[in-house]
Amino acid sequence: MNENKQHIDEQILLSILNQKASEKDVETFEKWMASNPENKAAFDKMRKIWEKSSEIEVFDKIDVAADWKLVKSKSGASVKSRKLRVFMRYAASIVLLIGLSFVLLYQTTPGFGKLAQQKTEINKDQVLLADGTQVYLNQNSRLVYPNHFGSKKRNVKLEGEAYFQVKSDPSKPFIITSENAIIEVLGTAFNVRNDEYGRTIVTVQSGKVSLTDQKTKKVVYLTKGEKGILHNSNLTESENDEPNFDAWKTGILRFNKTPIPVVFKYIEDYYGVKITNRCERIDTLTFNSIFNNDDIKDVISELELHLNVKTVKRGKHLIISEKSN
Amino acid sequence: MTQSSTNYSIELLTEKRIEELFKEHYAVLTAYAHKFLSDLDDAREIVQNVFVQLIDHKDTVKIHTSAKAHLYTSVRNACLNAIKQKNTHAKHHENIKYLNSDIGTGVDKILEQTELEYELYQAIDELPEQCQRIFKMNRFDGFTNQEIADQLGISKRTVETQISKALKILRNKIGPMLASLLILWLMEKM
Repeated sequence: MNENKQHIDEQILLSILNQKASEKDVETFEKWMASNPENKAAFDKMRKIWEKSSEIEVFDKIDVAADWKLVKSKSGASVKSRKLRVFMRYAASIVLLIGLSFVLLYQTTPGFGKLAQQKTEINKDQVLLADGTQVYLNQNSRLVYPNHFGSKKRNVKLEGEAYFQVKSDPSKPFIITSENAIIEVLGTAFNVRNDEYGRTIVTVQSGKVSLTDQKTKKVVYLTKGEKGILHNSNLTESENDEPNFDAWKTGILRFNKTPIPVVFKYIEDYYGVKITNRCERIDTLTFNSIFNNDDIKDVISELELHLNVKTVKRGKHLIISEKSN
Repeated sequence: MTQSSTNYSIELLTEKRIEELFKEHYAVLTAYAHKFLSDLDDAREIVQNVFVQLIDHKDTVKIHTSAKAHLYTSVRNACLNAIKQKNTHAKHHENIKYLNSDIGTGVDKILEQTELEYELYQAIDELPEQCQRIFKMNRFDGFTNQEIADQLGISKRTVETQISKALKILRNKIGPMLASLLILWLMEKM
């Protein structure tokens, strides 16, 4: 590209686009524009990209892979319904009765009409909140949220684990209550996990988040690449050392010189299995690999190959032992 | 582009083929529907339903034009129905007129524009990580450079440098498509 025949500081061009240029900058800019038609063409191009790029945000909100899953789950309904029509007539009246009793229950529970909830057991799920915030729920989790947010704050409640992509709205903080933690954000992406040891762990992928202990009112501020842990009123802050904190959502497991016992822990967590290692020799070894939505069979066979061991699978229990000749 | 989406033929639909079509066209179809409906969830639902129909009736549906043309026609019709059902706001009248006009054989300007916008979006999406985040925070989320600097804990100067870098990369990358964009944008203004 020879558009910079006569040099100009890019920052001046940027301040012109932002309409924040000083008089001196404007003067420099006008001279530069007049000095060569190529300069003018280059700047016009820059301005078009600048203007247009603020109108295409919509693509950022379209999640093709997630929506394909939705399409798959919706399909087949019309075909099934033909077969089930007769059965459905009976089922419908029963469902109606159950439904009515639920409505009664719901209406007698104060404040329930305003709130909605999403609960997961063996399947993960995602929820799009009224403000455009996207929440990915891990297994065995529960999110309670209002159908419409109030005018000052966006309050939700979480049990279990979820990844939040909070829609930015500086005038309305987004607040998550989870166990004893209060997590407050403006607009950003992060993961909240309540683990089996009673800890609440917040891992930040972008932006800034505050984590408050409800009891002691202590606060830590977390930014990208940091995590905060709340455990029995003990609030700590550290670098995120867990590359796989969002594996449950992305399906990607990364190992980079990871000690084998840690590798097993991640595999147990991710695939919901139990691993017993009868081969002490490998405890001191490390492992490098990336698994992208792979089946556990492929993971096991790669480990077997790498560690020269054999694996016996009994249901959800994997036993690793020395390879006998 | 695959051959089947450019050739005019009767296409045999398998679920795998439908998934390919979804991955190739879903983003642009949804953004296209969004332009008429101005509600993203409505747009998503309409496009998703078109694909659900396609899966459920894959054995009986005959596509006589290209698969792409079939998808756009279906989405256009669904948008038109949705607007008619809501049947309220005056601003939708222009949309009804546009969707009703016979562009089956001609050029759909709004579609072309959406496709080009998607190309620009993809170019932004391929920017280096930090550069991309900062550019999106400025352009998509509307944060000022100072706010971005505060949120990411870096200097305002760094934010500005990253944005310049983004613009420079985009400028070089989308040179060829820009000529057509300029023409479309000019027509918009007229």
